[in-house]
Parts: sequence; C-alpha cells; structure tokens
Amino acid sequence: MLNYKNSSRNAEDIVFEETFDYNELELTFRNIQSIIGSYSDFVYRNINIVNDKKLEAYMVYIDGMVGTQLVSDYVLKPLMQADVFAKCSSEADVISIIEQGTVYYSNAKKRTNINDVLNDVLTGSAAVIFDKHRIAFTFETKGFDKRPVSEPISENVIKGAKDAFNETIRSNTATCRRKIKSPNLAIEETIVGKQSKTPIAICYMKNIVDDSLVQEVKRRVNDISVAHAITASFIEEFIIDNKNSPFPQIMYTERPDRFCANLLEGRIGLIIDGLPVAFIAPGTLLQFVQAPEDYSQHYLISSLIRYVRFTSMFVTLLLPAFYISITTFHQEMIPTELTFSIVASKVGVPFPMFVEVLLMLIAFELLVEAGLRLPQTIGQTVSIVGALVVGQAAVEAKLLSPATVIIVATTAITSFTMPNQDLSNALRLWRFLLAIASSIIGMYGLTMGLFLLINQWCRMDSFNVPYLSPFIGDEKLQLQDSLFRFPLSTMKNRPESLKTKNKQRMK
Amino acid sequence: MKRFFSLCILSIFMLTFAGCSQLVRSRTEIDRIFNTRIVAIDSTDDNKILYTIVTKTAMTDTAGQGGGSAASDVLVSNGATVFEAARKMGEYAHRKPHYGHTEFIIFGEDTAREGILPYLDFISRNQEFRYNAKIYIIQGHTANDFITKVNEAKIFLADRLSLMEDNSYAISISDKVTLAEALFIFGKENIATFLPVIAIAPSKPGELPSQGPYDMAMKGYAIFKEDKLVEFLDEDMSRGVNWVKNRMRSAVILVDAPDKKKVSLEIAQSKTTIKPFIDENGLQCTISINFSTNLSETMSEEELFTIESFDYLKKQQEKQVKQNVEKVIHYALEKDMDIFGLLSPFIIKYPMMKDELREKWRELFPEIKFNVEVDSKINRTYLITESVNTK
Repeated sequence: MLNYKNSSRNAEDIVFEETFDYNELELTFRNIQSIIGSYSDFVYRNINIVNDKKLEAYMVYIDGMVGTQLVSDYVLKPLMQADVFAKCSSEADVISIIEQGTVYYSNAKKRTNINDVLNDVLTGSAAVIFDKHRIAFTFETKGFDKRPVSEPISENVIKGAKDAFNETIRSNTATCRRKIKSPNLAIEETIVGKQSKTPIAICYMKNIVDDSLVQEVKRRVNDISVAHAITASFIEEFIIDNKNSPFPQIMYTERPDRFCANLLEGRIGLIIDGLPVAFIAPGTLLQFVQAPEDYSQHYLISSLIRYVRFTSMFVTLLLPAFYISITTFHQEMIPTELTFSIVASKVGVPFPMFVEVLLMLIAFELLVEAGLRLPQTIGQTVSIVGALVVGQAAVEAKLLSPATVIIVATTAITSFTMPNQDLSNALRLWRFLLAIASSIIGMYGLTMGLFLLINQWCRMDSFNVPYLSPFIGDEKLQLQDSLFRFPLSTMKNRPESLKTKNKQRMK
Repeated sequence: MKRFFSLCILSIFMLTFAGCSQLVRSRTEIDRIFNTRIVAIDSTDDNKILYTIVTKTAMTDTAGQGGGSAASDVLVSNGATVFEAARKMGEYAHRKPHYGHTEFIIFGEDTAREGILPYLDFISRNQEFRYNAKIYIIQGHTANDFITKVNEAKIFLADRLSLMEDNSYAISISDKVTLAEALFIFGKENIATFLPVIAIAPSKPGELPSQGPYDMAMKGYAIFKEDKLVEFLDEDMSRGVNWVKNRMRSAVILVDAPDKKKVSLEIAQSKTTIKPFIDENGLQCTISINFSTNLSETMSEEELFTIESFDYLKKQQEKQVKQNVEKVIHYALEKDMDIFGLLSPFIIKYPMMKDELREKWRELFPEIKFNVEVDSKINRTYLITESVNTK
C-alpha cells in the first residue's frame, strides 16, 4: 500500500515540491510500479538470475530512453548466463557479485533509496531491483535518439568551425572538452525544474574565472524554482539582474568555439540539456554586437565591419524617430534639395508623417512575425506579398510616401545586421518608444528618449559587470576589442571587468 | 501606480495622434510649409516694405511635368516693417512660410541706396534664417521686379542663382557674401563693404533689357558706405577687389603675344598678403600678390614655348593685375572708403594703437601709402608645345 508523504497538502504543493519525495517508501518493485503506473513506455520485467527461481529480481526501464541492445548484451545476458552467478545460493550473493563488477557495464550504481532509482530510470537508466534486500542497481544505458552535431544556423561563419551544439548535454560538454583539453575546465552539473529535472552544466576555467562569479552563478541557478526548464527563458529570466530591461544580459551561442573562447576569457558558461544553445555570463552590450566572424578575418576588415555594425545599431534605433523629428519639427535640418524631394513624395498622402512611419513599422513587424511563423517556403511568399503590397501598392495608392518606405526599409535592413536576435528585439521596442517621443516634441523627445536609454544601459549590471563595459567603469579602458578589432597581439590581457585570477591572456 | 501608467499611456496617445495637434504647436508636416528659398525686400514709395518670398513648386521635379509650367511659387505682401509684411502673408498663404532653407536675400537698388541694415534686423532676429544665406543687390530694378521678370525661366530661380555662383569662379568678377559677413561689416563704423550685384539681362544677345524674355547676369560688386549703396564697380575694379581681398579663384587674363595676337592665361592659384606698417611717413601698406597661370589658348602663330616668350607674357600679366589693383585702390582712396577692411590688419599689427586707429580711421585711410607687389609664373603649358596656328 502506498503512503504518500504529506498527502494532505494541496495539489499545487505536490506538483512543485513533493513529487519525487518517496523517502518513506521502501525500495521495492511494487512500490516503483505503483508510483510510475502502467504507462505504455515503461517496461517491467521479472527476471530469474541464471534461471534459478530462487534468485528473483526485477528490471525497470523506459522504452526509447535506453538502448535495448545495451540492456540485453551487457546487463541481461551476464545475469542470465554468466557462470559466476550459478554458484549463488541467495540474492545476497548475487548482489555481492554485481558489486564486484561482474555485470561489466561501466556506469553501474548501487541504490538503496527509491528516489534515486526513480531519478535514474527517468534519465535513461535500466534498474535491476532486488526486493528482499531493498537494493537496486541502475545501469546508465541511455540510448535515446539524438540529433547529430550539425552546422550552426544563426551564427554561420565562412572561415571557422562548422560544429554547433545539439540538444544533448553530454554531447555538448564533450565538444567543449575536445576544444579545451585542460584539467582546469570545470563542468559542474545541477538539476533545475521540479518536473522536468533538466540537467544544467555550469562550465568555467578554474584557474581563470573569479571565484565569486562562480558562486554567484551557482547560487542563482540553484535558486531557480520552476516546474520545468524546457525553454531558454526559464533559465535566463531567473538569473539575470535587470528583469525589466528588454536588453539581453547573458549571451547565447550555438557555437562551441565561441563558447569556449568566452570560458577562456574568464566567463561562465551554462549548457542546458534539451537546448541547442549555451549561455554565457556575464553579458555586456559590446558582446552582443560582436560576431564570431570578427575573429576569423583580417583585423582591418573586422574593424570596418564591426564599425558598420555599431553604426547600424544606432541607425536602426534612431532613424525612424529622427526622420519624424526632422520632417515634422526641424525641417531646416534637412538639406534643401532633400527637403523638396521629401515634400514631392509626400504630396497627396493623407497621413501625418508619424502615422506613416508607425504604420510602416507595424507592417514590418507583422511581416517579420508572419515570416517566422510560416514554413520557410511560404515565408518567402509572405516577403514578396509584403514588399509588393506594403511597398509598391501603398505608395501608388498614396497611402504612404516613398521616402517613408525607404526610411523603414533602411531601418529593417540595418536591424538584420545585429548578430544577436535578443539585442535586435530590444532595439525594436526602443525604436517604437523613440518614435513616439520624437513625434510629441521632436528632437527634444528623441534626445530625452536616448538619454533614458543610455541611462538604463549605464545603470545595468550583469553579474556585477557594468553593461557598458569597457566603455565605462573604473578600470583602465580596454578598447582594443570594442568599436574596432585591433590585432590580436595587442589584446594581451583579459577584460578587467571580469576580475579574472589570471589577467594575462598572452605574453 | 496603475493609474499613473494609465495616465502616461493616455497622454502619449493624446499628444501623438493628429486629433490633438494643437497641443503641439510647433509640429508642422513637411508638405504644409512654404520652404522659402529667396527673400526679396524692397521699399515702396509710400514708405512701406514690399516683401516677396519664393519657393520651388513641389510637383515640378518629381512628376516629370516641369517642362512647361512655372517652377516656383511666389508670395508677396507689404507692411510697415518686414515682420509685419511677413506675418501678413498669412492672409492668403496656402502654406506656412518657413525660412530655414532661405539661400538668397536680395534687395533692389533703390532700397540698397537707402540703407539695408534696418531690413536685416528681422532676418537676424528670426531663428529660422541661416547665417550662410547670401545677399545680392539687383542693379537698376526692385527685387520684386527681378523675381517677376526672371522667374519666367523654366529653371527655378534659386537653382539658377546657385549655379551662377558656382560658375562665377571662372571669371572672378564677383563672389558671394553671406548674411553673417554682411551683418558683421554693416555693424562696424568706418568700414565700407561690397556686395555682389545681379543685373537683369536680355536672354538673347543684342536685345535690350526692357524687351524680355529676361535673363540675369553677375555684374561685379556694389560698394557700400556703412549700409548704403554708393556705386557699382566695373568688372576690372571688381576683380581688383577680389585680388586685394584674396578672393581670386580663377579668371582669364588676356595678353598679347610678340606678334600682337591674343593669348589666354588662366589663373590657377593666387595668394594675396597684406602687410601694414607704420613709420615716420605715416601708414603704409604693401599688398603682395603671388599667382600662377596656365597657358590655355594662343592665337599667335609664333613659337611661344621659349623662356623669352614666357617672360614676355609673364610681365604682361603682372602689369595687368597691378593695374586692376591700383585702379581699385585709387578709387577707394578717392572715395575715402575702406572697402578692403584694412583697419583690422593695422589693429592686429599695432594693438596698442587700437583706439587711436579706430577713432581717426576716416582721416587716416586716405593717407595710406600703398605699394603693390605682383609676382607670377606661368606654370603649366600642357603637352601641346606648339599652337595649331604655328606655321
């Protein structure tokens, strides 16, 4: 008979706190069967060691999670056929022999607690339970299907590694180990999600990273109390400092080389089981504008491209607001001939400039959203329809002026140059706010909005590292890798703001 | 807090959308403003001010229908002051006048003779005007008359003026003077100045200016004593002013070859330095002009590409420049008008005498002894060393 602990508690408590706490139950096959139930993917099997009916044991595993071939060859076969078991007269002898490693599976654990057995089974182990002795052995025979290592999708580089993270944590940590062959690479695992039991690997370089940063990351990860951590936000939102800021505060990457490079800088990485991306903390604004390609090209080319990217960031943020300001409040700022071109394009358009820009921005957002939701083949159709309908037809129908279309198109194109989608999304939000501010009081509104934005950036910290580092902060400026990418030989030290143990990157 | 946010959102929508445009009075859509390119100011016989503004017609360029239609919109009004006249345009203007793009401010000859400083007060106070707007004087006509007659041309008047300005470097008989420069000089006592002149010209050679259709032409400088027009300079003297003021960009110097056929020399570079000094003989001023020319054309049949021939040409060009400069210096001394702004170089060199120089400048200026030094060289002869006329 099952006795649920604290069964008088309400359902919510049970879901979030008590689901796996069966300490009061004895480790027996019946109890496990009662807890799990008779779901179709659970396999229960009664086995007799070497066909001796006196030597009874039970096997439990989840179909699909374990490799059945592994279970048959390396667990069941020795138990059924190994001569050493023929001499056993009792289950205690069997247990003793298994403990000595006769079942030659590399990862076998002896369990005496029912919770541990359940955890192991749910994470892909096969359990052999000896009821009379309340002992079980779990063999890690994970054999579920996993996506092979493939090319990165959103961070592709021409001259660089082509491998990307996949959804399997062990595969990802192994990839990191392959890239950093150092005993100082620490990979500590913790479980997050009361229901999902998602393993999270906290990776860092022991000899480089600031210990207090490690403690802080661990504390925040361990403090996460959620039912599941299946999507990225369930981790990200709980560990960042400024939860109300739309700007990303920890970086994500699908590239192991980028991940490892950041670990070697003195940052901390988080690999989450089930996600093909890894997180890097702390994150600064500069990191989100840097692209992996920057370090695989000549420094002059990289510097130029990075500068263009920085410019694009401000163009995508400010252009619509600036356009509204100068066409509605400060017409004298526009070059004379351009003024007449804009006026000529605006003739016959019934909407004020702000409404025009707002309509176009909303239409652009709709197109982006529709393109994301639809399958790739139909997505292209949406783009064509959007360009034709919104761009051409609306201009011909005098609903929008061509100049506005060009402005919003430029805004859209520059937004696509952002290497980090989270940053791009935050800029999208602020773009609307600045457009509204500038439509009220022109350039003053724009300036005030920009002031608020910079104020927000200045106030933000990510794990005690200033968000605008290295542009602000009391440490000496390290601008070799900021607006421009200087030759690697000039970047002798690691970022000061990370307070690394070993500050020197190269001699 | 909830109420505060609701209020904020409500305010944003109220201020943003067009229904409440009166809340933000400075907001004007770009297609609803009259982008003034030219401001023309005249005084009338009844002591009023005739105020004319010109802009480009919006549809002209983009619709591709500019061919036969007028390229500009003109608004005219009058009032006792420039400001009143400008405001009275609101009586019938279809768009709000905006002066942020005003590139040219023009005055009629009669108005200029009465003095233009009172009319510049409104312009200098209005925050929309740019200080790099250029000032022109219309010779023989009112500014309004000029706009009415010349604006018939298919090309927009301000564009035409702008192009003329750009091309005027080739003859250097005129140069632009900005509003900032004019206000600076008109505000000073004892200093005369010059403003560029535009004249109405017949559009076909040989026709009289009164016959039309009309065109326009740059006509050197008008000389001002304080803010009042005194006289128009001819081309030689206007170029002389440019030499002294170091405003010479390029021009053609015509000289004679040894066979008395014409040779065209193009001024390529020039630099003028003014060296004032005071000794027992009084105030003296050395004007050193250094320039180089290119041989652009020869109608001579003789071989010119010899050291002797070049020396011969060089002496002629120096003589011509010296004559131009001395002519305008003579004119300035005779009229007692410091159109070269020489007071400043003297003050810079002798700062301790600043007050005395300022006080007595009117008497001192005619006594200045000028020494004009001209040095030149013919730099480039290009690859063609023989004229096609050479036999």
